[in-house]
Amino acid sequence: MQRYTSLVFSSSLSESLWQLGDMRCSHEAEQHWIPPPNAAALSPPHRWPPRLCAIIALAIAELNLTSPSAISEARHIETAPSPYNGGDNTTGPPADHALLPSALLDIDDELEVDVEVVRASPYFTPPSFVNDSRDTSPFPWDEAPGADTDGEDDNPAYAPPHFFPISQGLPSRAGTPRLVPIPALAATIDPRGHRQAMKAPEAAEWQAAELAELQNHTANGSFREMDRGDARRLADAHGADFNVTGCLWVYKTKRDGRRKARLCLNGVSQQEGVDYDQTYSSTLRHSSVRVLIAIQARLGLKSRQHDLVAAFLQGSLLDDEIVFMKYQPGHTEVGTDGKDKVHLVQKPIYGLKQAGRRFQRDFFAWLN
Amino acid sequence: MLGLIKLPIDQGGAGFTRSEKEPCIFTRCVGDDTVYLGVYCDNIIAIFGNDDVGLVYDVFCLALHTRWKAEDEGELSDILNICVAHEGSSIKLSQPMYIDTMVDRYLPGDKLRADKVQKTPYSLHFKDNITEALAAPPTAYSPPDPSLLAEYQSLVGALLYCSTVTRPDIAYPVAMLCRCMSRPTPALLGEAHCILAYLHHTRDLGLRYESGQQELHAFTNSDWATRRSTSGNTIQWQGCTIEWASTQQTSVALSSCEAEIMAASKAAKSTSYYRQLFEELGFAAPGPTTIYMDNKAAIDLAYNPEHHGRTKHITRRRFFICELVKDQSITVPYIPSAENVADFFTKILSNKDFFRLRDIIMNVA
Repeated sequence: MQRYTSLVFSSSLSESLWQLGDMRCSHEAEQHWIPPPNAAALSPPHRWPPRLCAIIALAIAELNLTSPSAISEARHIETAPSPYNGGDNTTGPPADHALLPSALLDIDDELEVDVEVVRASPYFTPPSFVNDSRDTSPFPWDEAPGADTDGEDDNPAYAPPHFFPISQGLPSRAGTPRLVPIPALAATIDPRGHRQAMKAPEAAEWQAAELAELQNHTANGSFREMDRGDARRLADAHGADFNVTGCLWVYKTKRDGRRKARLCLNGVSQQEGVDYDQTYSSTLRHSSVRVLIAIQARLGLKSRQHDLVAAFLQGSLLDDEIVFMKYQPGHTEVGTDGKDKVHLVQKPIYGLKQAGRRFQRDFFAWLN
Repeated sequence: MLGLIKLPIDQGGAGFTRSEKEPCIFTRCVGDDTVYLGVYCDNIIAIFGNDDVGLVYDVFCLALHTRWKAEDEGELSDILNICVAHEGSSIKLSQPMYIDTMVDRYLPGDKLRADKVQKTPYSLHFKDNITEALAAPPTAYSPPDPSLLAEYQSLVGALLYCSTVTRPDIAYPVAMLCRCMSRPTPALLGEAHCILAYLHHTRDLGLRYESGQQELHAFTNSDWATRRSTSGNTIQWQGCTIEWASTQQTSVALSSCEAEIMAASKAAKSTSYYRQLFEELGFAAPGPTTIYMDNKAAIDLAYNPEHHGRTKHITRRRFFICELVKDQSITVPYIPSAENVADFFTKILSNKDFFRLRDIIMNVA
């Protein structure tokens, strides 16, 4: 029991951790988080946004795992066999973990948090029980410049753990270690998010893929750079609210081994009435596929298949439609002239809620 | 607000006509030369007779590749992971790859796989298992095991996709399993595995459409349950089914006749859709479409409002079929129960009947 941290968490905090898995949240979700009306009356954890609670919990868990035995323990958890990693681990988990439900071991992903965004949040107050001076960060992975000098990968203790060992303060459960998983982060081979891709062994390939995607977008004129101030004025001129949507990288290893990165606009950060209006677009029903094939059989016809390359990007937005997008993760939003920059989206790029509709509007009209 | 039609086109269009009944089917007809297009997002399926230079398809291809950046992926062999195979003059649609993925994921052991005997996709106790699961009260005090719930829902969801795309033969058991989505029992998970094993043994089975002029016709049937009954219907064209359904009815039927009327009205709605679609595509039926039923009383009701005393409570929308009969767009002849293939979607069948009806509905060679 001693190797688990003995920190007592409030139950609301652990509930927040459970919610976290569903959030996969954007920074906007963080910004729009509204404290409960009775926030002042509640103890501090209630006043923090759930995601922030999770981050702090993570930090505390990390700080308590830095003893050598704890590190080795954490590694045991990480390398336990699961159906997704092929179960080829011969050492197996130590006996203590036999009681872990195997579902907890499947989680093969890490939590991605943008520490800077959290810091900038007005709700951020470092918890008092974390030794927070101006020099040392409460976030163990938030390395001070030059800290990582050994040339190796990050210190294993700094890798975010997959579980938070939490001893519940309830009397009936006292002494029973409870492992709280971060749910809903499915096990995938491809990295999720820019940060993870850049830490992956094949980071160079991902970087090349990102570059290729950006070049495609540039050649296609998908978006163009704009001063933030100009963008705001443009939105005002159209009588629309000013909203800058997020974007993210989606990585995919193709069946033939090629690495592909796709820059997606984060559709959930679009605001209805500001960034989009209608999103319906029609697709072929399965019964219609059967009808077409039946027609082919009936008349003894031939069939052929065509595929539009990067179809949505071949569509176009409406004339008076303005959508702004942040810079892609891993890039600064300050231009060489020192001004804040955003992207003005000019083509229905992937992730845009109305992208399918915009493409169809052009393509179906052309077919007629 | 943003109509699809009013867009000014900078370059000339391709001259196709969009179907009103199915917005993703386009046709263009010049003389005898007709091209049908199905558009699924960025995928275009083209059905054409002749690709000689100057004919409709050739002109379309040229225009498509000039205006848009597109790839010609050759003859249609795989659309949305549905395998398209030619067998002589007929064409078969099947989903072997999807089934393989499903079996690998949900049936890792080889216990059921080794069982080579051809069996129905349900066990002898299927009905009992369903009844037992439905009878258990879904109280908060006895929630199902979360891991069972997760696996069951995931597996049945995967089976449901298969049953609606190319496999009418599992439509009935899957629809029954779907009624217990929130309260599975281990026995029901076993039934789901049974369906999966059946799919594994018959992975290449699919819908086979024949050549030649054939008319649209439909079969409808229903069971009559103590609570809500099950409608079953299938619409056949080119020797095979193009649409099928096995659904729970939305209200309680007080007589088997009423249950049949509900099922028939549902079949009539689909039939009406296909009649209109085919008319648009140039396959207008010369006369009314036949919907076969095996319930004399229901047939009488479709023609005349008889049996008032016993049918006065049935709402008017259930009598949609009567209007279509009056319009002469459908007829409802009688067919003996033994020949009504829609039985397939409403009840548990013996091995013999199951395979006989399956081979008719799916046109198994």
